[in-house]
Amino acid sequence: MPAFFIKLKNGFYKLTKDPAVFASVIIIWIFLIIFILFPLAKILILTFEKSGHFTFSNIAEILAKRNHIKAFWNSLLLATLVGISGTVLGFFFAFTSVRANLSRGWSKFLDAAIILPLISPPFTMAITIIFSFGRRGIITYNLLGFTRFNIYGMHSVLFAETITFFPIAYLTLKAILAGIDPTVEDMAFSLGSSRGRVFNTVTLPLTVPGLANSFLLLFAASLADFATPLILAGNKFPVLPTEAFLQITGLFDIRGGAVLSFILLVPAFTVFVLQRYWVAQKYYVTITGKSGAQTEIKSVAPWARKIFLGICLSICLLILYLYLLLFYASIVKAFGANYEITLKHYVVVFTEGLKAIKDTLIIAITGMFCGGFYGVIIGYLISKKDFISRSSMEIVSLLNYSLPGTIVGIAYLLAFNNPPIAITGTALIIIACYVFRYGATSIRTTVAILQQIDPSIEEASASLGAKSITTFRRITIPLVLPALFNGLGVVFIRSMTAISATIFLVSINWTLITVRILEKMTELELGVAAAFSVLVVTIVFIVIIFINLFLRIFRQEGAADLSNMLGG
Amino acid sequence: MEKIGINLKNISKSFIHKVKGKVEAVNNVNLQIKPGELLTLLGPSGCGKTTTLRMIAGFEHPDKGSIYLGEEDVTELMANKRKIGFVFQNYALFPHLSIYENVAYGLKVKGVPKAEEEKEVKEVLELVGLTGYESQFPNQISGGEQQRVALARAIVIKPKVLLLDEPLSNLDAKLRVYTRGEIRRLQKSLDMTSVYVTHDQEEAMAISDRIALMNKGKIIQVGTAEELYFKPNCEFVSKFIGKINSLPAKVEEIKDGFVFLKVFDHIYQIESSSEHIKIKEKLNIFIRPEFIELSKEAQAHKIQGTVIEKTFLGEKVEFILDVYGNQMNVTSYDPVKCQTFSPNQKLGISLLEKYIKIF
Repeated sequence: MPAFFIKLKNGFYKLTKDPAVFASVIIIWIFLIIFILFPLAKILILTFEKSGHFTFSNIAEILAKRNHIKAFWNSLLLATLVGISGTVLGFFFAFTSVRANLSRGWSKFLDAAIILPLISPPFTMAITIIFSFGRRGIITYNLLGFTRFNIYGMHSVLFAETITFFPIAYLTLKAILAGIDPTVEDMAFSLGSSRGRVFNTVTLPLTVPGLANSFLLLFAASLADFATPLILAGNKFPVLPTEAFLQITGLFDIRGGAVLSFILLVPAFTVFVLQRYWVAQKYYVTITGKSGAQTEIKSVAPWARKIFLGICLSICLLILYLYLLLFYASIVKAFGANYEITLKHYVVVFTEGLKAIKDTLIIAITGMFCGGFYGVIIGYLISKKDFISRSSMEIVSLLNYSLPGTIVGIAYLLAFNNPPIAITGTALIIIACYVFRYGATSIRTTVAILQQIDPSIEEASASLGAKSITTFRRITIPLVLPALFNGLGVVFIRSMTAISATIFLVSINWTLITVRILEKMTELELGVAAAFSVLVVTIVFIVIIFINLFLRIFRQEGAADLSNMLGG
Repeated sequence: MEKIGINLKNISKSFIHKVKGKVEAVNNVNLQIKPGELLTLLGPSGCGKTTTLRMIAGFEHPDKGSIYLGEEDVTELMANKRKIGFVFQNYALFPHLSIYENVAYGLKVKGVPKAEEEKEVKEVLELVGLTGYESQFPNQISGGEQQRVALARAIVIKPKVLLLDEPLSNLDAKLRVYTRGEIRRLQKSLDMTSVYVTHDQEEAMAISDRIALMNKGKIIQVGTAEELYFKPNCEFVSKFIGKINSLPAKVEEIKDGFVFLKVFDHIYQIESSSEHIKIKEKLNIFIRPEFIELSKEAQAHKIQGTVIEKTFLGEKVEFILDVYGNQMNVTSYDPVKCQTFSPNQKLGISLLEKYIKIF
C-alpha cells in the first residue's frame, strides 16, 4: 500500500474513533472557511474577474498608474531596509543581553524598555517622532532651532519602523542565542580561537537561520505597516497599504483597493512561504532544556561589555524619552506652541471619546476570550491529534495573521457586506477579525508548549482508563493554562492596539480608540491623540501586570514556564 | 484476580519515515504470552519491540492482524478500555499533579469512592516504598522515586496486564539492578501478566520468564534465557545473547546426524540434523568465549594461539588471541591459573566440542 494511503487510512481511523475530535475538526473547518478562506477568495475574485470573465485587465489598470508602481517598489525597499536595520539592532541587543554576562537587573531593564514599542498602538512611535523631530519638535525646533526641517519621507518611516519592530528581532534572536550551549564556544576557545574568531566561526553561523527568520519577520511587519507611513510618509513616498486605504476611503474604489491589496499579497505570501518551508528547516539550535555543565560565558571582553551595554542603554533611553514626550504632549495645552499644563485633552478622551473606549474594551475582551480558546483548541488539535487535513488546518489558521492587516480588512469588507453573512457595521465583524487574526498567536504558543509536553503523558492518562475528553480536561488543559493566558493577553493587547485591518470595519455604531487617534491626528488635535495613546499604553500595561500576577498566583506546580508575554 | 494471557496474531505495522519512506516497524508478528508470566521483548534499537508493546497497549493500531487479551479481541479497542497498566521509559508523570494525585488518577477516572481511593493509594505507595511522598510533586523527587511512582500509578488500577517500556533506562547502573529486582518481586507477588521491553540482554535475562528476541520487525526466537543462550537458532541470537566467536571450518564428513568439521587442522564432531550442509563445504563454527580452555603448554595436539591482549576483571579474565590470523575471544573464570598467561605468550587452546554451534 503506498505511503499516502496508509496515512489517509490511519487518519480516517483515528477520526472516527474519537467523535469529540471529529466534531471539533468539522466545526473548526466551517469557521476557517467562513472567516479566512471565503474573504480571501473574495479578493481574488474581485482582482481577476470582470463581468463574469477571468482577466488580468484589473491589475493592468491599477498598475498603469505611476503612483501605484512606485508604491509597490517603495514598499519592498522600505521592508528590506527595515528588515536589515531591525535585525542588526535586534541582534546587537540580543547578543548583549544573552552573551555579555549582564546582571539580571540590566537584562530585565532592557526587556522592559524594548517591550514598550511592541505593546503600543502601531503609530505611537510616529506621533512621538513628530513631537520630537517635527517642524515644531522639541529637538529640531526648540533645541536646534531648525525651522524648515522636513520630517516626512522614507527616512522617518524607516526610523520609526526600525524602533517599533526591532523588538521582534530581539525576541527571536535572544531565544536562539540563549539556546546555543556555551560549552560549544568553550570548545572553540580550548582549540585556540580568539573571541572574534569564536564569534565568526561558531556563534554567528549558528545564528544565521535566526537572522534570516528575523529579517523575514521584520520585512513582513514593515510591509504590512499601515499607520506609520500614513502619518510619516508624506505624499512623496506612497506605499501599498496606504494606497489601498486611500483608494477605498478616498476614491471609493473597492475593486482598486482589492487589486492593490492583492499586489501586496504577493510579497507577503512569498515571505510566509519562505519562512515556513525554508527558514524553519535551517535551525540548528534546538532548545532541549537539557543543560550541559555550567560554564561562564566568555564571548565578550569586559571592556566591550561596557560599550555594548552603553549603546543598548542609550537606545532604551531614546525609547523612554519618546514615550515621556508622548505623555508630556498629552498634558500641555498645545504642543509646539503653548506648554501650559492642562488636563483638557483627557477630559475630551473621557467625554467625547468614552464611546470609543467602551467599544474597544467590549470588543477586546470578547475577542480575547474567543481568540484565546480558539487558539488553544486549534493548537491542541494540530499538535496532539492526527487527522486528515491537519497540516492544511494549521496553514489556513495562520493565514490571516501572516498577511498584512490591510488585506484582511479589505477582504472582510468585501465578504461580509452582503448576505449570506452581512455583518458590516456590527461589533461582530471586528471581533471575528481579531479572533481569526490574533488567535493565531494563541495557536502558536499552545503548539510551542504542547511540543514540550511529552506525548506519553497523555498516553499514560489513556492507559489509566481516561477518555480523550477526560485527558484533555484533567491533563492537557492544566498544562496549557500558561499558553491560554498568554494567548488571552496577546489577543487583548493586539485588539487594543490594532488598526490596519479594522480601520475598514469600524462604523458609527462601533468604533475603536486607535481609529479615533488617527482621526485626531488628521484633525491636528495632537494633544487628544497623545492622551488617547497614553490611555491605551496604560491599559495594556495594567493588563500585562494583571495577567502576570494571575499566572504567578494560579500557576500550577510543574506547569510550563511562561517566558514571554508576547510571542513576537 | 483472574490471570489472562496475551495473544498477538499476525500483527504488522508500518510507519512513514520522512527520509526512508515506508518502514515496516513490525512485520507479521505472532506471539503468545502465558497468564502470569513476564515476557521480555528484547532487541536492538529499531527492531519493533516498543511498537509491539504500544500496539498491545492500544497506543498504536496495527495495520494487519489482531491482538487478544485473554479471549477478547481488543484490536479495535481504545487504550483507555483495555485495562492495562503502562510504565513509560520517561515515566510520563503528570507534572502538575502531586504524587498522591498521580497515583490516584486512574482510580478517579474509574469513579472509585474517595475512602477506597485513599486506602488503595496508601497501600500501593507502601508497596513501592514511597509512603510520606503523597504531597510532593514529580519535579521534587529523584529519578528512582519517579520510576516507582510510575509503577505505582500503573498497578494501582489492578490492570489485567502490565506493560513496561524500558522502565530502567533513565536510572544509573546500580539503581537499575536493584529496581529490576524490585519489579520482578512485585510482578511475581501480584501474579500479573507482564510484557517488558528492553535492549539490555543482561536485564532481560535477569528479569524474564521468557524472552522474545526481535530484529528488523520480526521475532527471531522465543524462549527462556537459558534456551536462548545454549540453543540459539541463528547467528543473530547467538551474538545478541552473550558473546560468540566465529571461526572458519570445513565439512569433512556427515554421518548419522553428526557433522565432522575440521577447525585449524583439528577434527570436531558436532550433532546436526541440518540438511543444507554439504561435504567439503566451507562454513563458520560458533563458540562462546567461556567454552574455550587455555593451557600453558602449546602442545601439538591442541590448537595454538598467541595472546594479544589480557584484561583482568577479578572473578574472570578476558583474552584476545591470534589463532593463525584469526582473532579469538576467550573468557576464563580461573583467575589463579591465568596469572601465568601474559601477552605475546603462545598457549594451547581447546574448544569444548559440545558447545560448538553451526547454523
